[in-house]
Amino acid sequence: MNEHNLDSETINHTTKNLALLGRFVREALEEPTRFDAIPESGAVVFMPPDDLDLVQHNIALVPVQRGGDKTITIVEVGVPLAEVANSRINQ
Amino acid sequence: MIVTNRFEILVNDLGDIVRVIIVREGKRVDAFTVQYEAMIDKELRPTIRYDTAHGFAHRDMLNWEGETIYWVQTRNVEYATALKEAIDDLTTNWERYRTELLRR
Repeated sequence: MNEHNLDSETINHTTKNLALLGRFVREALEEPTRFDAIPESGAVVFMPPDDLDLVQHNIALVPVQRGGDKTITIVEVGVPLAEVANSRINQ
Repeated sequence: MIVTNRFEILVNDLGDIVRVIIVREGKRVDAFTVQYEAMIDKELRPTIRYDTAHGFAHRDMLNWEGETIYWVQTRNVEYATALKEAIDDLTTNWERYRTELLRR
């Protein structure tokens, strides 16, 4: 993997994750309690409801990115609020 | 009640992240920062930042030290809309902004 020359898979996943961020913000501004899924510290990985490839990629990010004591929180985007509360996982 | 949400998003397996700060009261956004940081040579390098400093929404292009090279004022809309548009712009153009950082 070359951080200077991005491969098509990295480009694809990055773009999708940014789109997920946009989707989360839109949903959370409509229903502000969704912000409760965001931790006060650490990092967030979003999970889409409808893209298995991205789900697998983002799950793989968790052990790779978890360095030191960084907490990684998985946040599902595009699911009902009750299910969001039940799916929060602290790694 | 005014609330500040701060979080960073992992966006790829290179280690790039997006830092987000949203100051809001309910659905109203009072201020925000969205900053893309590229993992280059084992260091996170701020690449581009959208924020509401100085009282208006704008986009800052950054150098290797995270300093503003130049900025562009974005649309004069309420900050909730400006925030969504900032993320949309980042989603569309992140690769170009990242490449531009490498060229500086």
